[in-house]
Amino acid sequence: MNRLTQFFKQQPSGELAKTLYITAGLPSLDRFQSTLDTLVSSGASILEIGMPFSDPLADGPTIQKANELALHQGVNIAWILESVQTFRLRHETPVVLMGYINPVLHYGIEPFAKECAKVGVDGVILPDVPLEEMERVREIFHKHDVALIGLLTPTSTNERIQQLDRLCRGFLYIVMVTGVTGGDASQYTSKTREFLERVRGLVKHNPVMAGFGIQQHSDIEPYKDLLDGFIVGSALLRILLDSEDGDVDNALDTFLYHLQS
Amino acid sequence: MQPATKSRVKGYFGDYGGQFVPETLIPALETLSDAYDALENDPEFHHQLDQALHHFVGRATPLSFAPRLSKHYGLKIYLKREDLCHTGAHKINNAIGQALLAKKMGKTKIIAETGAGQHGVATATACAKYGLECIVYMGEEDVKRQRLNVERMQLMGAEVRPVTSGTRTLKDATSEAIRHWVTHVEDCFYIIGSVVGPHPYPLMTRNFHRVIGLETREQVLAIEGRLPDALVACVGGGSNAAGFFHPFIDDKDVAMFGVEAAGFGVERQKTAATLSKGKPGVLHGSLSYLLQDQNGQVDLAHSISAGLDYPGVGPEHSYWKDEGRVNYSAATDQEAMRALETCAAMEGVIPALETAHAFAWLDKQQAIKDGGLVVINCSGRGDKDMEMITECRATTRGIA
Repeated sequence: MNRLTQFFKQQPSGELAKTLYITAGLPSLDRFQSTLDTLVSSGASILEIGMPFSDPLADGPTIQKANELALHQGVNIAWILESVQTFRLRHETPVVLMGYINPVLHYGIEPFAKECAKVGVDGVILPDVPLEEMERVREIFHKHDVALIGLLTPTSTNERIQQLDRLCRGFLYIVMVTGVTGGDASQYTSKTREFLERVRGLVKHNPVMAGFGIQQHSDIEPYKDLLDGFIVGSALLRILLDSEDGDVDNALDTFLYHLQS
Repeated sequence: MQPATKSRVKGYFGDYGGQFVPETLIPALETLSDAYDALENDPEFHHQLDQALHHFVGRATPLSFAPRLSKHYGLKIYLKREDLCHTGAHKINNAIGQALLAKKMGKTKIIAETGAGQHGVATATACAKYGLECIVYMGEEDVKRQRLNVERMQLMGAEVRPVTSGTRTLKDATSEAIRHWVTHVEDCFYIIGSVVGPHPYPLMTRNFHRVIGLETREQVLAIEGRLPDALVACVGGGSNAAGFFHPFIDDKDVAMFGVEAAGFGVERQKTAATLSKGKPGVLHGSLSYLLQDQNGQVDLAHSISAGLDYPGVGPEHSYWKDEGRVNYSAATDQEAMRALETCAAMEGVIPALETAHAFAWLDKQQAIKDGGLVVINCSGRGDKDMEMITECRATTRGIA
């Protein structure tokens, strides 16, 4: 069974799943695996690994910078799949890959889906593949039991939310703000809660995980009752990018500590 | 990637186009698409647009016979004078059209991207005319290279935001404009400067530029009593070519030639010849030919002309290429410069560096026989390029 499905099946109700995002190959190629270990031991429920792209349209400055660094080090899809395979020798934590469609298209959707299944990737997030362009991609991933994870945004209509819920698997990614990654919780308003309530009322088939702007557990606390989990990305990357080499581990530990409830 | 089914054709030109953008933007694109469709059939809107194009832009632009170039090349050559449009290039046709559309939709904040600054200037102009707020994203490199256009935009009340990410040129200015749009989608309207981006932009931008081809058709019939044997235009994103070609697309006897920028040469690393050298891929919301590396990362483009310095191309051009309807080739920096000099000296018209690539076709073409009737879309004037032209000529003289 797909590890994501299994994970949510076993998750105690009322407990928030924690997805930690890291761009592949950070802080360096050599230290990527040990950083994944740190994230797992800090209690990550799910790992989201970013596949770098030269033009990440839905991402703010932090993830843009992380993408540039990863590409500069030569990270590509083959390297990422290999890394997941290595990770799988040690951990059963569900892994989802997040990336823009062009490198995947270039690799080939069918070969990519097949390799994902083989190395132990459980889901994919493709932020520039909306409902309109999803159909062919979706069937291929689902044939290989790799969940295509849909994104819901505050601008999504009810009809689209229901459609995405019907078509997607794994979980639904709730984009908390109208905007790009890397903001903060000050962007959340009374409309955020309305949006989450709307989602909760409409989504019947998938767990819902919120992301964009979450830096610490208290950011998500007010919406706990409406969510199955949350996703932290840019804030974690900033620790990796901004800390001096020797301090990364300490800084990361402190940061991850504040993600606990 | 193919459209899912044959019936799923909305926003596609054959296999190209689509809406590869974050979910956040999809409802806005639907609203835009509906508003545009409604206005397409609105005589009042067309009347207003026609009035603006006539009294403000200066349309119709002339179709000028080029006697000395004709003699030189053994052809009968006409120039469609988009260089005589207000602001100096065809870009204003689309900027005025989209600004008017934005106004009808009740949007008051406009954003745009620009490379050389021509689309930025056109958009700033349209916004000043219609009393709209305007923010233009421009790569930091281009801000430095095109200081005068930055001044022009600022003079007309636009805010120019330098983009420091990635290559700091048009590609990244476009990405940054899309990010701004994702963040302010509720109240801002994005005026894209070429026939690129997600549906309905490629269609809409092409239609706002169709006036170029429609006028040409009427003018050439009036002067020559027949359709031309060939149309020639430069292609970066491809907006001037799309608007010029489209009204003739069903006239099978009219051959069409799109000329891309080969930069240092199509076989070299530094090129912007997307259709000659690229492969299908997704950038800025649509599937089209794309310059990319072996991992699907978008390649740096290079061209002497900032307006052609873009690694993508409009999806309709990809379709026309595959269909064989339009013949695409590429001219190098050097070939374009030479053609620019020839045109300037023989006709008293200094074309823009972008446009010069279309003129370079004359030196290499063998498809059109002696005496053939050729119309070149003179998409912009070269005043903005004088610094670059001067520099190039100095270098060439130095070598000689």
